[in-house]
Amino acid sequence: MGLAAPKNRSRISNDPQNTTWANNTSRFGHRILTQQGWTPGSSLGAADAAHAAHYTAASHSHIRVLLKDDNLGLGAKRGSERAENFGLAGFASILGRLNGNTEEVKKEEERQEKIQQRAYVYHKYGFMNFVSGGFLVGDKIEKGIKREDVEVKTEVKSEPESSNNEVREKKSKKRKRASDEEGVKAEEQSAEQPKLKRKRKSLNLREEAAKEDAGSESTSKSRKEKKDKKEKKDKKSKVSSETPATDTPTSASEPLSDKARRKAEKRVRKEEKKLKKALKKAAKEAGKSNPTTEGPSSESEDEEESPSASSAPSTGISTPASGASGLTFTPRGMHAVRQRYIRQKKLASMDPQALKEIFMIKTP
Amino acid sequence: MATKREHTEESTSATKRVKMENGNGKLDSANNPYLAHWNDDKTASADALADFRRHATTAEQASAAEDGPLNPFTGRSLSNRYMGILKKRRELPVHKQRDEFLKLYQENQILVFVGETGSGKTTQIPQFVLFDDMPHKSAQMVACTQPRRVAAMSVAQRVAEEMDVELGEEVGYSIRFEDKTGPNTMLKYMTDGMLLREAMHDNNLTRYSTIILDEAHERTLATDILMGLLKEVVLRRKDLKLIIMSATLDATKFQKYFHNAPLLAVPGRTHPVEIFYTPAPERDYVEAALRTVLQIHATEDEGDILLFLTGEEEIEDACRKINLEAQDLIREGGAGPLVVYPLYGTLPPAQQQKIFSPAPPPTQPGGRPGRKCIVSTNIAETSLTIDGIVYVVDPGFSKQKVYNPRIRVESLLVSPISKASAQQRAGRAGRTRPGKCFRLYTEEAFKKELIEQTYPEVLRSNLASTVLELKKLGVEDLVHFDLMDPPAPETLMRALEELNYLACLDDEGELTTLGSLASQFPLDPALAVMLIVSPEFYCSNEILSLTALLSVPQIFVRPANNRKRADEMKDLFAHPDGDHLTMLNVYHAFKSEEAQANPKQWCHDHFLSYRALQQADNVRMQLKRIMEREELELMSTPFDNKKYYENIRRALVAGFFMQVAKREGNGKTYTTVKDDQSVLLHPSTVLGQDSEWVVYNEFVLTTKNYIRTVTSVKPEWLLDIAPNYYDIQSFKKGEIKTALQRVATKVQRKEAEKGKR
Repeated sequence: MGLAAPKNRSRISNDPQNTTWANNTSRFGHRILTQQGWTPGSSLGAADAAHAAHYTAASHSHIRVLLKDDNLGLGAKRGSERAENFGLAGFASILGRLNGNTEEVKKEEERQEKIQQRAYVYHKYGFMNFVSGGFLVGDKIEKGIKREDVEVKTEVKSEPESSNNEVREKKSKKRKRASDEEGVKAEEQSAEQPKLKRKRKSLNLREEAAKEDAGSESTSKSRKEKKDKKEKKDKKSKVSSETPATDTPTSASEPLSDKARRKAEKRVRKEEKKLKKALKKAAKEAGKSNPTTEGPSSESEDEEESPSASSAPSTGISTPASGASGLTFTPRGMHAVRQRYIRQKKLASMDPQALKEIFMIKTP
Repeated sequence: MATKREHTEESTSATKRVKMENGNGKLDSANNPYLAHWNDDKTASADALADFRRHATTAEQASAAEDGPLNPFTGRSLSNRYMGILKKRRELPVHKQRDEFLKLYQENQILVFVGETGSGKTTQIPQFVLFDDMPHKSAQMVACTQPRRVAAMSVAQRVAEEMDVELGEEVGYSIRFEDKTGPNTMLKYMTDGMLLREAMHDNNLTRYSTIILDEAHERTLATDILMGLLKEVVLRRKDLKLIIMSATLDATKFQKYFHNAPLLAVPGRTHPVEIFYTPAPERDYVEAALRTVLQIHATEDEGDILLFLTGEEEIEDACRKINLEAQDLIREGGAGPLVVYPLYGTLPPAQQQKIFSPAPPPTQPGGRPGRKCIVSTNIAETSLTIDGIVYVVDPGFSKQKVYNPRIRVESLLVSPISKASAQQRAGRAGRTRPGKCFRLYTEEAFKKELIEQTYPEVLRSNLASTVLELKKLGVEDLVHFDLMDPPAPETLMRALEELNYLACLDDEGELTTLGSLASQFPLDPALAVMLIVSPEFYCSNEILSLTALLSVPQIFVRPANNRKRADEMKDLFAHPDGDHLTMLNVYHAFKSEEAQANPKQWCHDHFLSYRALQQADNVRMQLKRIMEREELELMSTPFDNKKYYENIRRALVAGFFMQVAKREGNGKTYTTVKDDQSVLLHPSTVLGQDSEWVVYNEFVLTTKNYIRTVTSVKPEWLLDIAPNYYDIQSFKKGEIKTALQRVATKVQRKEAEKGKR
């Protein structure tokens, strides 16, 4: 928010710490305490208490608390407090170098750069999502069942973190992915390794999908994998907000505004059911025929479509259609629930996405 | 006939076992195997405890006595229900260590007992003690303190059932304003505050043979003071036994504090809890919490959710939002039904009970299972045990009291919890089966931003009433009073000074008669003094009502969707001179016949809290009883007298002269007297902006500093009623000093004129 943040003006008293009182040593309280053997600067309590080692700072002076008047989460910083927003990051890195932490500084810089790149791509094109298909070891694909478990969970965890701030989202995504691969809880990682692994994973995916197509994979295994994928996909669809798969069970846990938007779309779609179906088909085809930059993307599309199409006939637009036009990224955020319905109505008539659907305008 | 024989057989076999175990080395006729024939007829009698030797019994003996068929304490036969409960009781984790416990208990005067929630310590340990201590034989009692009144009541009820006795007979409870004990009572559950009050009259607590301080980890003010006190009492009374029970595993502090007392730890019935952090900090923890809850509902397996938020408003808001979203989720996503229950301290007990109702069934048979979600303040952290919780969502905040002695403000502020607290919260997920805890902050934040332990209340409160209590308890040396965590010196100074100005302590720090009287009231010293001196102002009835109203939660209700109407209703009661008088008007209206016809409806119509008013009524009755006991006269100025309201305002000054603010120039801001803090009148006040001097009840700390519940007063009264505090020489140069000087000269001139005539 930085400079544009709402100003909170508050008057500070002449003596907010009331030092007049604190420095006055002729007070009654001060006198009585000194009489009883207290010396300024020492704490109270029994002399040579056995548990004195457990005393905290609060036994010396009152507890100081920062006033919290917002919903900022633990550890989150306001816009103006974040170093990178004011170019302080550069300063910090210089200081870091001077202190001899060159390695760490470099790592941090690389991380930031990565985040920025990601943010740019996300803004411009939206993101593609992939599901883990295990590791290719020799000829076989190995699935770390245990790791998969953790993986899913870390994702669950990371979701609520999505925010109005895309940059941060990107960051978390990156970290999430890293944790996916490492099978550990989100930790700061050097950005290099996960990337490699990711590539490998996508390779796996491709191969795996090919196998599936050929039907050569053992049924039980592929089913299991599919299940995993589905799980992951559900989550990913939420994170990315590029798949308005309204009917997946997880959809409601998406950010509410986003959901409202999709709801509006859905309403429109209900009116124009036939139209929409045609559109969907077209979109599907468009997505398939779209020359994608990354190989496995078409694979993942297929997967994303198949379960949702089977589970619910009124699925939304498939990934690529909205992915391509997915630049209409709306900032997320919880809004007052009461306003939601008004917004929905508004959105139904104002959302260009919805209108385009109604008027059957194909987006490039 | 058959049953009787069975009984005898069982009893004898039991005693035989006892003899085997206790006979060696311990010379006592009751346990001497050579004198077994003496005991035979005794065991046949109703008293199964007859041959129990105090502080030398074993678990085996006790369980034999528990098996009946006669109740060992009452001599009546035991019900079937008792047997059912007994079976369950024996499955509790503490039961396995009964022998170990008894051994330590018998050998030591002080014992630290650590048991995680669910180990059964609160209900079982006191009963274990009963079988060994047998307080009824020496006409003493076992006391078990609880930090909360509700807990004391419900646990006493439960234990009465377990022992198959009537509540209020052998097992009773004692809480503020309610004493459910009788002459037969041998086990008494009570709030820690009640035991402290009893200690004021009986410094050695001679009525008790064993004192159990339960939930000591919560470190309430009263528990902390009691620990300091009992530490001295055990030195004076070698026969008194003390058990400190805590739920946190880190009990070394307790052990060290109590001269390295032995520790007994009982593992709880807990399952592993998987902990998840967010990869990055949250921008909005409430929103994140709601999303997490909905997501858990949509994607995770069966199991209830517990979400921790900070306050009533936030919780109600969250419940509403979750409900709305869950409906969509169910309709569109095919998720199972979700019921949301709020839980916070001021919630009526009936609604609090709702959290224990089971999760809803699937909408159709074979459908996705239902789930309940409890949105709670930190009362669900340690004090309440809710079974079935599998998922915990922890945003890492809670409302905590802090006190700043420099500006004399005690306020509830949202602040980060401690690591210990976070672990407690997570532990709630593993009560029934392996659970998951979702922390809405990063692991880094957990490590770096959270303090180790929550600060105990004694470090976070205004200690004025505590100091008064300590003085009454006979503690002379406050500086060296051995508290587990000694308060900041400035906090103690402030407390002493406040009491000195209120004339509860004389200039040497000794308790005055007024102070001694004030300590009889379970009130803040300022309120107590105001109440005691009110007969001098001919308005003790009114001040009594006002005191009651000031010691209950907010009486005005202002629902978010009907603010305007609520304000209009409040204006009906408004008194131009301020909020105190407005509250008094409300109370008088509430007690009128018209309102009493259907008080609930009347309160609802007038946007008042029926519960708060009823509570105020109750508190008033209790205070009145104390006033009558202390022979304080109850009187009123006739209502048609011009001075009716003035007298009340003057009495208000007599208690609250330290909470006065003066307007700065003609602006909106006020400055508090002596502490020089800039404050604003709280928007809720009925007072216009034209009062120069106001007395306030509460200093509210937000981005702007507000004073709430204000009433305008005259500066002449301040000089007249509290000359010690308003000693103009002691003020520092400034607007307030000049204003007071002006008033003083005006008063002098007037008096001089009067003298001339």
